[in-house]
Amino acid sequence: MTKEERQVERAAMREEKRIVRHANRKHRNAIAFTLFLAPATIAFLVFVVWPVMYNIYLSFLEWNMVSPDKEFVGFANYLKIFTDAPFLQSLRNSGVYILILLISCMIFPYFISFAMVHLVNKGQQVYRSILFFPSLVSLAVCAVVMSFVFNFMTGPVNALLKSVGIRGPNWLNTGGYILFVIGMVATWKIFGYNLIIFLAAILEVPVELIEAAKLEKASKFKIFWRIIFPLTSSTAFYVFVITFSHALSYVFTPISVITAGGPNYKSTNVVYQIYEYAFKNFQSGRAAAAAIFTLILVMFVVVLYQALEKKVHYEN
Amino acid sequence: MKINARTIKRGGGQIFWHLIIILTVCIFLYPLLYMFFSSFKELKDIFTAGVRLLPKKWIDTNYSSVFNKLDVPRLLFNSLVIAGLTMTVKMLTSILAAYGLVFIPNRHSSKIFYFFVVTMFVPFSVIMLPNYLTLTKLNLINTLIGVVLPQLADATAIFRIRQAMRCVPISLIEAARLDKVPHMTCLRKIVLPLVRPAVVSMAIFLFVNSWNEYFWPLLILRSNELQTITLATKYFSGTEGSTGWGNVMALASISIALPLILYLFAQRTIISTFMSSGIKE
Repeated sequence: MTKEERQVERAAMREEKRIVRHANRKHRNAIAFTLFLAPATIAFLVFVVWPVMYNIYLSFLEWNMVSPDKEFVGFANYLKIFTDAPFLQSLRNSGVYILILLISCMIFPYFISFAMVHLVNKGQQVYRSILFFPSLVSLAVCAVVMSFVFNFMTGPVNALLKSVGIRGPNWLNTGGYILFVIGMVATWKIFGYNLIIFLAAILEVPVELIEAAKLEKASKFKIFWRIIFPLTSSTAFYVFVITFSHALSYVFTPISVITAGGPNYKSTNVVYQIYEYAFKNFQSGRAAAAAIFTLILVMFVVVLYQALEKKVHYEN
Repeated sequence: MKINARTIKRGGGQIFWHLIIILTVCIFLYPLLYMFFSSFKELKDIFTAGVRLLPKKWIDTNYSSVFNKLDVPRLLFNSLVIAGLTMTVKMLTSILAAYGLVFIPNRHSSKIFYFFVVTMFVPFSVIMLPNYLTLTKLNLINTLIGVVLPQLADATAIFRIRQAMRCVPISLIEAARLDKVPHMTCLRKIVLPLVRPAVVSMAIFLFVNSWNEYFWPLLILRSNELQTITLATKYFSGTEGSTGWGNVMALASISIALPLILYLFAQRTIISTFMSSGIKE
């Protein structure tokens, strides 16, 4: 063998070794990756993915959750819920809850966080620590306390109204007012969390832009609308999505603690209605069909969010 | 003169906005204070107090009567077990998953992360019934484990911890890996110390969330000796206008004491973890 040949051969061997080592490392990394992700993934497969699939299956069956025979009924459950008066009422109420929470937990904290960052120069830390705390209090406790605060005979809200000459309504037993009270319970829980998210986004807007606008005596509203909003709109979309999905699920506990859906389905919402179908009437088919409806609704909003997000991304 | 007028005007605006924010703070704080002070009021005092917060006469009989009617230490113990277990297991799986997603190169990383994020938007109403049926099959109804298990599938911690880990320079891990340091050691010795604030705040957040859980324990736990402190409010709910008001307020105050203490202890870290804007990718 000549010198060159030997060199070439050695180089080839080195290359082969390198490839083997590389493959080994890749292989070992794949094993490590699987081991690190398996525990979390298994929990999600068993308690999220499987339930969603099983729910779809259940929605096509007539079943009372106990008996061994299940009957395939096609889309009958879907037809039934959309002709069921309480369910239709729960849909209307859900719409109202979503509207209330979009105002109180998206628009309101948006302005408050703007004020905290750019309209006052002190106290931001204290304000935000206090405002965040309610989101760590349980919805059940909050619901009980609010039912006292809004009690129409002895609660402070009506006492306050009385002192300015208004006769307060029977909040907890009147359709409409009860939606407001339950909306406020959920607001109490969600507001602080959303506020923090808005604060983070607004703090990232370059201060120079705001200072320049202030020097040119732009109105506060204009600063918000022309500078803050365009630069934080992706956060606003995100808050919209989480508020929308919270507006469906976070009113469940207050409904079940304060009213159990009453009076006469005036305060029920879709999620509470699903609970009634499943665990009070044992109509798993209807519960599953209604649940799939909420899934489609939320996924629609998520997909919409991503489309908007992409659009904003390209425009910038 | 001109400057003076301007500063005064500006100061006036400031005060106006401070007032708006303080009003908001008061509205959000009021129910908590109402709860706390009512728990020390006589029943008559609660009924006639109106907007006034402070009791006319401070009494502690509401607390003693709650302790008489309910086995409070037992309720607290059950809550502690459920929340502690949920938090510990969830933190372990989340830290592992976040490390895997950030530091172990794999072509499926982003897909798997996306999968976790999507699960955050699956409404609770969809998984409620099937999970109940699963637990029935596993014979876990009316057990503490049955309350813990479904709570493990929650991506919040994976999301936040991954966010914090992405700020750790990947070259640190690559260098350690070249020296044949195992991933577990990298995680324990290099990554965890650097992401400690996020880990601590997520641990508290998960603990408190599980402590506050109402619906799932209500559905799963049947026997009296397994009830949690948050569930106990149901013993008094629907007592509107009856005699239990002071008691409910005392019980509610007991049940939020621990979350409040944990929050006071770590509020700075918790808030900064949630503010390290996780939403932008």
